[in-house]
Amino acid sequence: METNKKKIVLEVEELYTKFTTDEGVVHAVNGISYSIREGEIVGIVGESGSGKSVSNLALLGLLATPPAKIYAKKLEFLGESLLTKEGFLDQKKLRKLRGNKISMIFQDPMTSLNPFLSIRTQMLEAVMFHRKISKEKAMDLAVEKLTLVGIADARERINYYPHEFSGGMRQRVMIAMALMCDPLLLIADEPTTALDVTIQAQIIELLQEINEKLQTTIIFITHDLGVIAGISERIMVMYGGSIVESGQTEDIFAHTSHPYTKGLLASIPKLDEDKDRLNTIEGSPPFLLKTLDFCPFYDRCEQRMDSCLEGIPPYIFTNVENEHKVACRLFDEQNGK
Amino acid sequence: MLGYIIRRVLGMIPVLLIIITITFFLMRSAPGGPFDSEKTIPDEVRKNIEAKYHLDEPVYQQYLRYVWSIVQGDLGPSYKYSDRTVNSIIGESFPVSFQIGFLAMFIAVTFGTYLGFIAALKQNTVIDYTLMSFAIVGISVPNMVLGPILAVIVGVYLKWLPVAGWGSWEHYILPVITLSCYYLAIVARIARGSMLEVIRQEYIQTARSKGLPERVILLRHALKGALLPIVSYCGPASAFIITGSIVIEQIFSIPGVGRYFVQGATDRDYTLVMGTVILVSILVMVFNLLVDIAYCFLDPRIKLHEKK
Repeated sequence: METNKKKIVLEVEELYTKFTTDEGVVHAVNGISYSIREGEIVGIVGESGSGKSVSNLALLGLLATPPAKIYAKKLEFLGESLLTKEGFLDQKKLRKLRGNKISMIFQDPMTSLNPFLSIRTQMLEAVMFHRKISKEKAMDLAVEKLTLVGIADARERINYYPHEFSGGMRQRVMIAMALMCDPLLLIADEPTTALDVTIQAQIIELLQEINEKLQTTIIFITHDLGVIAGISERIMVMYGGSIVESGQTEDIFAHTSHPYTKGLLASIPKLDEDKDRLNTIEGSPPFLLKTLDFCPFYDRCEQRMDSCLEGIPPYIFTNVENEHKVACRLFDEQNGK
Repeated sequence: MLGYIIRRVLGMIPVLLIIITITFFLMRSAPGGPFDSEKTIPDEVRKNIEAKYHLDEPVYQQYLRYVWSIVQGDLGPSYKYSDRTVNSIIGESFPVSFQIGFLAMFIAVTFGTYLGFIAALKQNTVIDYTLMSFAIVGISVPNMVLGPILAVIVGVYLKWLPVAGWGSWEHYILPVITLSCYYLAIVARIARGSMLEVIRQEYIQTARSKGLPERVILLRHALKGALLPIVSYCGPASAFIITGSIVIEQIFSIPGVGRYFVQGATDRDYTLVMGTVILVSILVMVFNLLVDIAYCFLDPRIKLHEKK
């Protein structure tokens, strides 16, 4: 396979994230494994509480520990392990990577930029810290990045404060800021959710452009399958803290396997259908206060079977060649025999 | 900016006039007068005194006469301290209260902010609980209790510092500590709360995602936002603290301005009461203006707009 030749940027194996709360331990991420290759755009889809954001914040070391407890079997960035011997995060190594080789863009550009500091201060600080370059050089770099994301008069407007920009512009600033150190990996956590539809399209286009021009690998987290269908090459579907299906975008849409993914696809509104009500998946996501010993989707699944209650369904290939994997007993039987 | 300040200062004049008017007529409507005492004064003498102080004139005329003298910067003669003017009484006692108040506020703000931030950053640890317990004690123990305790322990038993009096630098220490305790505790609690709120903001997460050291995150990204509530508390509080505390001044026999508030009122010393009221009013207004100016420097979203 052609994609296999490309370098693996990020490799995650059995990542767990737990939160200790007053009500008990919340099992937010339950042993997810995946790898991201250089230059690809991977979408992570799931509803609120599925663990899609938390898993990424966790592996970057952005969750406060305690209450969070994060461990994994393997966490490698460009072949270098980011774990301590005990399997916990190596905060020192992560700090060097964050904002440098790995950058993040957040959901709401209104709140994720510091309102008290000028764009200039916020843009220059990371590159000056990580690369120890002069203010003048950093300034030139910032103007270059701002121009790249489509902000005109960047040298003048870099002195503005966040409130002097519109929402879409702020997200462009966020993206420019994330690009300051030429990251290899850009994690975009719902970068379009807080924006209106036309701006959404512009931001997605911009991310695509960055991926093509700079070969930046992008993880695009969203709850909207429609948004990533057009941009990502691969999609991972998360539910209840686990990845339930993953594969190339065409396969996810054309050969949808997991009943949850089917439900998600069915709930995307279609223009050619005349319906009063949109499709929904009945029920609500599972409480993660206890470790599930059966399929997390069981309660809401339309195709549930008795065997679904026999342990967590293994995460297996339905199509090895296309790397289409699913965690569902329906395929367990097909493959097992 | 300068235009804004000038306009705000001019705006203080009508406010001050309203305060003067209300206080003036309230004082006059209270029963009794400055020269009433248990001993009856012969009518002749009383008439002479009243004529001297224009108390025989109709009230509105006294009011106009008073306002006119204020405009000239003269707060009038004291009725009780017959050979002194209100200007000289306040002029002598206010600097004393100002020094003690200023030092107390300075200590309260610096230590309170620092300890509050520490408590926030160590939230729900022994350090946090210990600091906040002390804060509760600081708020709950009134300074008429704390003052004498300190005076007895440090002054009487240990003999490290003078028990009371005024003159050398040693006389500052106990009153300043006593006065600052309450404010320090309040500031610490405000600082803790505001820091906790700020470090939960998404922009702090953004700063962390840039891999910046924790020290930079706190000093550059969190500090300004966390200072705002402290500034807005300290402005008005400073105005009151520097105009003296009758309790502190009584306990440590300090010749400050605080005692004149109460004494002036019970003595029906009309001009002295008016003088202290004007002093506090001006200070409150000035400190509120300072708070607004400080806000403008801390938060770029706040602009002191020129009125169109």
